[in-house]
Amino acid sequence: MEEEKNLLYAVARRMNWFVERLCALLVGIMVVVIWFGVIERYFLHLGFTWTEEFSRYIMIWAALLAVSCGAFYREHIGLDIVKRFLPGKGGRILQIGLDLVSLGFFIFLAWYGMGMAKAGLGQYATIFGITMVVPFAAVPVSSSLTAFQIFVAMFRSTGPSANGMSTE
Amino acid sequence: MIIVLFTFFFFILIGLPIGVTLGVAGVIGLVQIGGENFLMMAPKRYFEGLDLFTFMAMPFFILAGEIMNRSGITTKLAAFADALVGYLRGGLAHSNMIASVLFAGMTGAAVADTAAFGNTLVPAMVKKGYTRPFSCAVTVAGSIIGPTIPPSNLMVIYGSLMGVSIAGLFAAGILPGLLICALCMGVIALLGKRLNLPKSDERFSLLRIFWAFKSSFLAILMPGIILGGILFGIVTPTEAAAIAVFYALFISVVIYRALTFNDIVEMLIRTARITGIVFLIIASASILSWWMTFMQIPQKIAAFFLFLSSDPNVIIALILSLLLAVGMFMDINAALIILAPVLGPLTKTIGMDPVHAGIMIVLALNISLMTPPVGACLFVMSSVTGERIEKISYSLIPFLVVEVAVLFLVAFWDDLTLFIPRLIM
Repeated sequence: MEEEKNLLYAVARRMNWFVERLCALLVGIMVVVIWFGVIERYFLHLGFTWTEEFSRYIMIWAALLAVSCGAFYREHIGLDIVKRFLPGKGGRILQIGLDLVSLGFFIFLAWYGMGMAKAGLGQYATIFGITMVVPFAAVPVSSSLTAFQIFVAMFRSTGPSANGMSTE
Repeated sequence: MIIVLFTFFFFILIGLPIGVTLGVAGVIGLVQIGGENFLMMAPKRYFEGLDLFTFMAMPFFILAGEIMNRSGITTKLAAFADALVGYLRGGLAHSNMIASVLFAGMTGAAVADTAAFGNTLVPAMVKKGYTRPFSCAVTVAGSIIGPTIPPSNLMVIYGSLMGVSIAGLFAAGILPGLLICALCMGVIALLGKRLNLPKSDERFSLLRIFWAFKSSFLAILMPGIILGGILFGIVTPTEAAAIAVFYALFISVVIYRALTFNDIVEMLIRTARITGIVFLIIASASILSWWMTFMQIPQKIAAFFLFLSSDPNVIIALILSLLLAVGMFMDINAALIILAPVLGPLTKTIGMDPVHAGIMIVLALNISLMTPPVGACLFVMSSVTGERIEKISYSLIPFLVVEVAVLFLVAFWDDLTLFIPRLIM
């Protein structure tokens, strides 16, 4: 219960709440765009070609943002054999070590992703004439968010329930 | 190269999330080949690894499955399966298998199936007098049927990466999937007397089948719509998946009136979260696989295999052994992304049809999820039901033997997979 009062945790939870709904919206848009693409091809014949590229970039944004939700719920799967045999303090230290590696990876992606996004300023997508910054930014933005969620999760003793979700 | 391999196995074993492990190993590989200059490749590959239109089929199939599940359509399908075979000795075990076939249209991942069915079907079987290990084994064995019968996310990944027709893969998976179901039911029938499996009081009744069929007819139609649309070239696999979402929504909201707006938001969130988990693995695996391509590792492995033997049959057997072992310690999406570029060209060298090779690889990876001692499906089943892995594994042996036999049949008899694709394409 103490964790509920923790400011950092409260921020992380709010942020995750918001990101989840944003992802839901993006997935919804993605579905509708593809429906529209099919209807357009068979019935409207408007000659639109942007649906494919547009939905692809939406998918990348949605999926990468959702990676941070996975970090919030600690849902990213790994083998837990060693953790099972290391209860108590040993397991806790191992978990912190693993979190630090994950944290490092996403900070790295955020940093170099920023470079990639900047380089995208001069490139243009074929649709709407937008620069590639818009899709490329998904990598640094989502990686920063994920790094933040991992950082906060390190201070939690128990994670929020993941609703028994399991996936592969 | 050794450092990259060491990093990979070390972090996997101590429990770093697989999506992060692949990325870290990939980045270390990049540093090794070109120092800092190559590090820019990491975010680029991370992005490009996801930038494939066909990948969108995966979240759509997940969403369609969520909708079907939430609206109670899966329960209707289970009732239909029960009406068909429930009256036999071991009826619930049989209908568990049939349900796996019927659910195939709305699931795409064996581990997810195991978790879902472990929560529902296993307790139901135990309640009817089946032993818990046997119930778990039947469910685990059935969980690979879904991802073998289309649609299947692994086939989407393989087809997208290797430029093989996804429609062709979908068509080719039908017969092997049905064969696995039939043979597993054969195993249940054979074991029925020996294990003294419960017999239900229900009698065979055409009327009951008719009613169950009628109430689940619209759901049974869904796989047909998906496959028909793709196979007859009306829509692409991605579009077919989006249409599956539309269809599931339509029958859930308009016909069964089972969904509210909040339900839909919740399902979209769950879909995004599952997609995030799978796509992190795909994105990170693309970093590692770029490093492998740069180091020409696929060519080296192929050369090694061909050095061991030039007999195609021996090479196929080697490939199968490798794949069956891989799923023991690795997520199979990741395994597919890393191994497809290695094994695809190799199977081509020995003259295999790309669709045939794809099905063989996908099926082998699916089966690898349940090979003792550490298959992921076994772990999930064990943690969901609380049953010990050793006990589940022991009960699983007859099913595993049958499924590996089907795998070898698929590998060495190409007509089994290619019959349907040839017929309709």
